[in-house]
Amino acid sequence: MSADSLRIALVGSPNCGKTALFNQLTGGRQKVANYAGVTVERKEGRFTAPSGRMLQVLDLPGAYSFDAVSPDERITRDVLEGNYPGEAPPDLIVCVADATNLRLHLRFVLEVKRLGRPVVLALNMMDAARRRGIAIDVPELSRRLGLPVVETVAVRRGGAKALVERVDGEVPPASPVQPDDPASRADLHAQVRELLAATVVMPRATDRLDDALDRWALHPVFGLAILAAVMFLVFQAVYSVGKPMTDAIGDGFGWLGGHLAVWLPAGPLQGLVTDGLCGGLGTVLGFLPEILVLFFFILTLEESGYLPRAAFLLDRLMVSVGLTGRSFIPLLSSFACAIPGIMGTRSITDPRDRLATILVAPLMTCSARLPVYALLIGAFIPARRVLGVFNLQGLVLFALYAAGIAGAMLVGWVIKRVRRDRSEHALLMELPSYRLPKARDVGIGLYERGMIFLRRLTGVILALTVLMWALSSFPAPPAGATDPAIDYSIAGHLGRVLAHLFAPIGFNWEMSLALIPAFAARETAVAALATVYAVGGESALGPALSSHIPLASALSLLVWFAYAPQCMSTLAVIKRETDSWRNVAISFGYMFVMAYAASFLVYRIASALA
Amino acid sequence: MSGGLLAQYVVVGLIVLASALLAFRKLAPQLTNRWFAAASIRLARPGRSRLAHALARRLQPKQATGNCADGCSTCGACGPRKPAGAKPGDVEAVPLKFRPRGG
Repeated sequence: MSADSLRIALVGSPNCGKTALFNQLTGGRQKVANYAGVTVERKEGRFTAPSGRMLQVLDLPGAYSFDAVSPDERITRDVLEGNYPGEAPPDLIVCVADATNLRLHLRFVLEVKRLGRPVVLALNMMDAARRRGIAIDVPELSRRLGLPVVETVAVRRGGAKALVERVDGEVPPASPVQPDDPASRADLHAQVRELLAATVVMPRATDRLDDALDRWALHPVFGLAILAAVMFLVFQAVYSVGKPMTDAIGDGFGWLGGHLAVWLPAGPLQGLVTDGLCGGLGTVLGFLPEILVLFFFILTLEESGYLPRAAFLLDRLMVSVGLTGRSFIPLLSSFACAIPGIMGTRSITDPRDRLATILVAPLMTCSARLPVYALLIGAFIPARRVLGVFNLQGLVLFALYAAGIAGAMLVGWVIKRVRRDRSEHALLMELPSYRLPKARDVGIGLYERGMIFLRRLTGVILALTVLMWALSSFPAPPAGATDPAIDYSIAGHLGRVLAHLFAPIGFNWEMSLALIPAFAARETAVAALATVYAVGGESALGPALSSHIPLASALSLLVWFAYAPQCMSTLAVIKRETDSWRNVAISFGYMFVMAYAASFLVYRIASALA
Repeated sequence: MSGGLLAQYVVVGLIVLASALLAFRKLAPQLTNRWFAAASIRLARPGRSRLAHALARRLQPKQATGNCADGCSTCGACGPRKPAGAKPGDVEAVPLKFRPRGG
């Protein structure tokens, strides 16, 4: 510790608001949500205190105790104990506790205090505590704990003012190190009860509104019906709300491409700008509204506190297919991208359950697949109403997401059959209070997702689209050639070689070719198809697809994307998290076989019916 | 071939080359970092021109700072780096073995 800088670690039980406090202090935009286990890695930020001192803040994964059982909890324990490789122990520990749930969270505070390092206790969510009539005698709590205690409301602007003032002042003296043995740990529960009796008045153990809502949300029959209805409505909304905006962007790029074609002199540059950038990249960008609509609902559900209830409801089903209710949150994260989902499995304590979840996480439909689905559904599925209410395109989208989930369950069940240890682990999960999502948090989340998409679009997708255009445009056809120019290009030759492999599942050479860049980033399949057909002389991708591809092949391609081996980034993270190439090979291999078999079946059945 | 058309081919060629480099760097960051680091060391040797030294500084790989909150826009650079001194399977990455029944 130096006079002009201080290292602070934010610790506490899961879902007590550490990351919200971290964002409040550092101006960061780390993901926050209303459930336990959002932070699974150590995050670092800095801010300058009013005194001018530089404060370095570490946000650590939540832990209920130092008996770390999952990888994320081990990170917290090792950092605080000074055993984390390459990381000095913090100068000051800010222990965050949910003021509405002190019965659970104070025990960890007492454990942290025993480390013998300077500690400040931040009683977070004080606004919610007051609303529920919970009265905390803060000075008395501070006296009995022997620690400075400050009140915070991490989700409110200026809600960390008291904490900033406290950490900017003199570092509190450290408590003496206490022995860590089972007997003294058992004693911690008694100490918590004693502290609560002396300093906290709580009218009710739980919130009245939570209880009323949970009677329906956790009901074994109505709860599942509510969950199904919520998910169903989300996918309906993606089409009803997002599609008009998607069409408008597509039309805008079509108009731009037309004007640029007139303005630019004929030649390769004109082809690159109109066919590659406006045709390929513009088509992918058009799907941003639908992605944002999907994320609006996911973020709203995350903030509301409903998702852990869904995990609880699905636990029995998850266990029956070899997973656990704890898999639910990582699998849900995988709907955004499989990578944070796979990282999120660190909160799963059992290594076998964790591996099973890692292997099935890529089957959840990530947002990168949404443009592919939306393109093919828009081109092949008529936009008509079913039963007068439901949008048929939305129903197909829902079915594709359901197909991914069903596939994950099937794989989970197979893993359960082949593994030696089939013991089950009870789900212990804290159910947070419901809360109204804050427009600002949802807005920031949407902005972040939008920026991630745009970064991908202007980075790897742009680069791959340019390469795909070059492969589709060169070499130029020989003099006197009669076939379309693209047939003579490198892409044409490559596509025809690949088509031999994919012909049994109904893919033409253009579709087969689009699978290559899709392995780098799923959305690039859309850009690749748009570029290949644009170079081939088609003006709009949707009509081009419906005129060149039979319905059976389109359905087969949809199913392929539901199960196909995921992008390289996902495989890299599986390697990183499991430290095993074998698991990468298993993941790639089973998904390829599954996708091929499912596409083959769909293609054959659809062809027979047609 | 007219001068204008030739210029177009040159511009398009440069764009395609840059795209290939970018794609390769995004998809195989560790490999490109190794190559760039090796090239940087060669260019920075004493006696090389000032231009070579400037190029060496540009090629010097930057420390990856991404984490998985960035989304899946790259591979390999995702997630926190293993801390210095960590052994394979330490702390962040826990080795998980898939053992079939009776295996």
